[in-house]
Amino acid sequence: MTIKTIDRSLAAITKQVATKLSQVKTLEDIYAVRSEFTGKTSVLTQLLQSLKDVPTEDRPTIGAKVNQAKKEIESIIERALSLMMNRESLLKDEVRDIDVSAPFHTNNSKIPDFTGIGSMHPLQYEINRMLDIFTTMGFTPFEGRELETDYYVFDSLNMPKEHPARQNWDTFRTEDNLIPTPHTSNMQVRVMRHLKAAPLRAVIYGRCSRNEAVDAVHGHTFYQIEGLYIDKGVSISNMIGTISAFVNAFFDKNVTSKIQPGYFPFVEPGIEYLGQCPFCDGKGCSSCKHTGWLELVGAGMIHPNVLREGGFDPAVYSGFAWGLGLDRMVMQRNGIQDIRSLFASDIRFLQSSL
Amino acid sequence: MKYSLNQVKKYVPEISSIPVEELIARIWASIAEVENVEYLSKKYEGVIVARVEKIEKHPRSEKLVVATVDIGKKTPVTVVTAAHNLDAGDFVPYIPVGGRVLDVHANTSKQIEITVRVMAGIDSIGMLASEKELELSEDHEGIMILRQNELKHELVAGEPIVDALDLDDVIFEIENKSLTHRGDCLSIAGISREIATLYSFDLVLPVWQTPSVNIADMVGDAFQKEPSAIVTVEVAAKPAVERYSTIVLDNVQVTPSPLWLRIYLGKHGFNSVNNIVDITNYVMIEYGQPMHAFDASTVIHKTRNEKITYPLIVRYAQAGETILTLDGKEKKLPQMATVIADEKKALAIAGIIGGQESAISETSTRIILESAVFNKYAIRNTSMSIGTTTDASVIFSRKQDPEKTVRALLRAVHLLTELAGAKVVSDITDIYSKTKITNTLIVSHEKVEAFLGIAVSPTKIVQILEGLGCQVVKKNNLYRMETPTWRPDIAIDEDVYEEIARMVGYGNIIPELPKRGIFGVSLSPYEKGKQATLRAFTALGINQGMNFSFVSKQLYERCLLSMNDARSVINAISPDVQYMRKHLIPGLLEQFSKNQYNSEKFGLFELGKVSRKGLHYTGISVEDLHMPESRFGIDDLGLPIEDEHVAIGIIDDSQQPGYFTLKEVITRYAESMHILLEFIHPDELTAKEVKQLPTWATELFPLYKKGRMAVVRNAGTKDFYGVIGEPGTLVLKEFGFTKQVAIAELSLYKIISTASFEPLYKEPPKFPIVTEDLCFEVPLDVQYAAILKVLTEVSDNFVQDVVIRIYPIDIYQKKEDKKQVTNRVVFAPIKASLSDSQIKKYREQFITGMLTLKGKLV
Repeated sequence: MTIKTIDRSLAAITKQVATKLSQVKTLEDIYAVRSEFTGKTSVLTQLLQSLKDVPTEDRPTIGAKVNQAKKEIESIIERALSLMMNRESLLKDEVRDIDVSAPFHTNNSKIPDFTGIGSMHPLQYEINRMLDIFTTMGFTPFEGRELETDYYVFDSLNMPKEHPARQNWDTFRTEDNLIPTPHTSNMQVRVMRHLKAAPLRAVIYGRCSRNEAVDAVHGHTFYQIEGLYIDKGVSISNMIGTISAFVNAFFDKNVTSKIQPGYFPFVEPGIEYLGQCPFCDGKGCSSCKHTGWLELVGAGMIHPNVLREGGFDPAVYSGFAWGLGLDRMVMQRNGIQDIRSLFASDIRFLQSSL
Repeated sequence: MKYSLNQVKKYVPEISSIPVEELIARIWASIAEVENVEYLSKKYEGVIVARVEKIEKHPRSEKLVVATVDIGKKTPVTVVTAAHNLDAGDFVPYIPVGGRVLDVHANTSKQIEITVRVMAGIDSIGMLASEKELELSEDHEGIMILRQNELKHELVAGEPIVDALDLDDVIFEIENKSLTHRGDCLSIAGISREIATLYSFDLVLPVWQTPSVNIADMVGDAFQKEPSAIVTVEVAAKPAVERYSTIVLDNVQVTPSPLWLRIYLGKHGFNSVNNIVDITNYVMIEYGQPMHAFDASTVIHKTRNEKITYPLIVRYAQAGETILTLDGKEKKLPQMATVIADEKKALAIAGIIGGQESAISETSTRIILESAVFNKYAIRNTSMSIGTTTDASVIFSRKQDPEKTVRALLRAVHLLTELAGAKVVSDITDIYSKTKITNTLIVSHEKVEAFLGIAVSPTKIVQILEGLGCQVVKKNNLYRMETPTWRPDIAIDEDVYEEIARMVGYGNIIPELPKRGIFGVSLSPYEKGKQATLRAFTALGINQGMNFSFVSKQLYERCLLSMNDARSVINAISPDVQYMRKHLIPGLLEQFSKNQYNSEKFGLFELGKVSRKGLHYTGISVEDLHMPESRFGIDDLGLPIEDEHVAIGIIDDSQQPGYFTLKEVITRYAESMHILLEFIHPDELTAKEVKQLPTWATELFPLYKKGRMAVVRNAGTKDFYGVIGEPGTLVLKEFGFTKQVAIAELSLYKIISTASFEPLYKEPPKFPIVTEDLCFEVPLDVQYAAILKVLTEVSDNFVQDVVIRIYPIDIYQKKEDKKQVTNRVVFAPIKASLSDSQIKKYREQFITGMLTLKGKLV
């Protein structure tokens, strides 16, 4: 045997394997091919055995070639096997081995039941609590859209194209130029246009997202809720009164508050409403970063441009809006350290309150 | 920005009467959140000024010296030190025994306590400190020497160091982010105006801040009557430049700054560089005007008739232009960037950072001083684009008053003549196309009070507005005002209301609920349906989970689902958020796989929105498009539809196929919504029915075992709800499932819109009920649904006499081709008790009916 002839016969064998594999129908067929070409009595094994007839100096080269061919063939067969297994499992998957219209399987009428009480997601629980408070206060609830246009996210909120505050909302953007909304205020003008008449009292809640990397305290997805109030002669005093009523209801106690100026382009003026930390009564704890105060609510008198977009004449009507993030509330209330646990559905976490 | 209270006191002397804590609380309540307050006098408590009387060699150590220092007491003390820079007569900082000092070897803010130390046999009492040990600079070369001429203060041994070094101060810090719209507050002068207005105190402005000031006022005769130099400025980047003022100074000596200036800078968080750079920073801190000094020798210039001309060009960057800046980085300039250039090269990036080549060095003698105002958008965009934020860029990107530039220039010139021996050799070149930057506003007293909701006196209103710099004329009930040049943010009536409200203090506005009538609000039918869904699933023992609205392509691939029509996110920070989800199942399935060993069995459900490309409002039949908030959509053609789905899954390790376990959950959920479901294999749908399935549903088919899936629909109306099944073997393998898993996704909107929440109560029949278990043997391929249909149709015949309920008890297969199906039939007679013969009659009709399925009673 020479190097030339060995090349030729190896190529022939590889081709033969391929041909045979192309005709197989079952796993059994492939097993047969495998034993034929790589088994103890196979041509390849014989070839290896016949190395002794080869001149000594050619032995290493030819031995290597045969071994390499063997490896190749084995891997082709492996691949065919895995394909066939998948195909077989697909075929098995196709078998209609249950009666989908039946209440249970043949010879087994026992349906496992989930005897425990199921749980509501902590964020959902918080949303529901908020909705309870808001509806009791006479606010009509609206869930916000998630995918939104530039107009409702920015323009309608007094942030035209070049407005620098647009950059404060680090937004995602989709290929068709929509924005997964970074705040629930995208609904302000929608709700105004929908309800049309004053007094307008609405509460908007929903999922928002910002283009941020995820870690224990930052998420790209979060929930917000905001209230909207428009009528003739609505004042800053009314705004503070309403927010206080809401905050007291939410924490189920009279929360001592203070107010500082805040800046949001869609309100004028804007304020931040701080409450004495309800978790430590202002003594300082991890929830309030030991300051004794928590930023509870961002608020403001609705900017005349926003009122105008919503179809309300700012010369006649005024109003206020206030909003807050739910995730932090949920985390603080439950002592949750890692924001990611809200989106992991660890069953031990979800059932931990039961 | 950090503000020194001592500096504020220069502008508002009366503020000394206000306790610091109260002042900080007022700033917080009326201007912006105070992030940090540092009481320097506490920090330097106990440290005093000492005078060195005598320096002697240490008898036993060459490294040490023995200093005898006067600390203002009867007898001097002995301090042993390793520093050799002391001479008799020097004033030095002295920390007595018991005081604390920064541990300079610790590389942290760790402090050590001073004790009496025996150093090579001599008691060292207290310690003489370096600048670094006092946290005044990084200098640790020897003991800090206090020089009379570097301080505006007469030194006395024994006095507290805080008095000598103006460290009897409070530094308060406001985050720049809180002043986004208040560029005027980014200076001592600006914040002082606010504070003065808050308390109705007088604002004392230094003479150089008055509009009429000129060079002679500021520098006396330190300028040439016949200027020997001139800067010409060509502004090519017009939109980026609001004003450009510049002047040339000669004879400049670049030296370290005097101690008082270094301390001033340190308090405000700046490092000292040299006297020239420090002076520009000093003016910026005080007046909010960023400045830049170029070494004039590096700028291309021409000399004619002994007059030197420096032509500066303010232009946009050229394509591919780069500049080596002061931070040592070579920056590629975007073409929107504005540069200050000479005829050959860029010298600085306008308003952001200077270039290395034209920077002031120790050998600089002639400088070109720039005081300009650049457009805030231009600076912000360039700053973001090149990723460089400096104190100047922060100030410029918050809109500055162009009226300031020349005044600031003169202030700097004055300091340069004093501290660097500079001589003015040019006139001021001032490029300023003045436009009206003030606003005229008229607000009524009535509106102010209505907007605030409280009474405010007219005197108070005028005092506030004038305090802030407005020119106010009050006539009848109207305030007519001209806003100051530094407050372009006061542009509409509401801005005026805000100024009054915050200066009055929100805390002084008495909260009052709006007056309103009595009215009721309830959730919308859709919201009610959602709440009912939540109640039903939780009552069934299922737990609500949540996934993000974003998915990765990989997740869909692992589920064998196509990404067709998935809306991609173009600026995703990670592949996990690259697409908007089209289905809830992929996320929920992954959560099941990660959780499968955390409990032996459990169920999860999720309510969430999904969307897909191509499915949006077209102006027709919004209702048909599964649109929960169709109430907003009608006027929004082209807006994508956000359908709300509910996905439900279970995992357990019993023998019952997961399909049936989940089917039971869903059936019971639907019952709670008064919906009767049917589950039908897709193969049994007509071609037309298949065609009508929504894309999202047929897209899910490849996920499932084809033999163990079904379409879920309304048993009566055939309304389509969703898909249920067990994941296929490949998917199970991909996720590593080892238990029974089944998962379903339904259109929540469809369910809610066909559900009913009104309970319909019926009085139960008064006669005894009779129960019969009927077991029929049928061919194997007869489906349970067919049997139930026959039995129900039969029982419908007796509906006048008896209410019949049928439910399955058992399905038993022993023979290869036959199965035995047992149903329990509960008869509730309406008119009279049932007799045996009647029951027999009913039974026989059931038997007859079942013949159509080749069934026979066993």
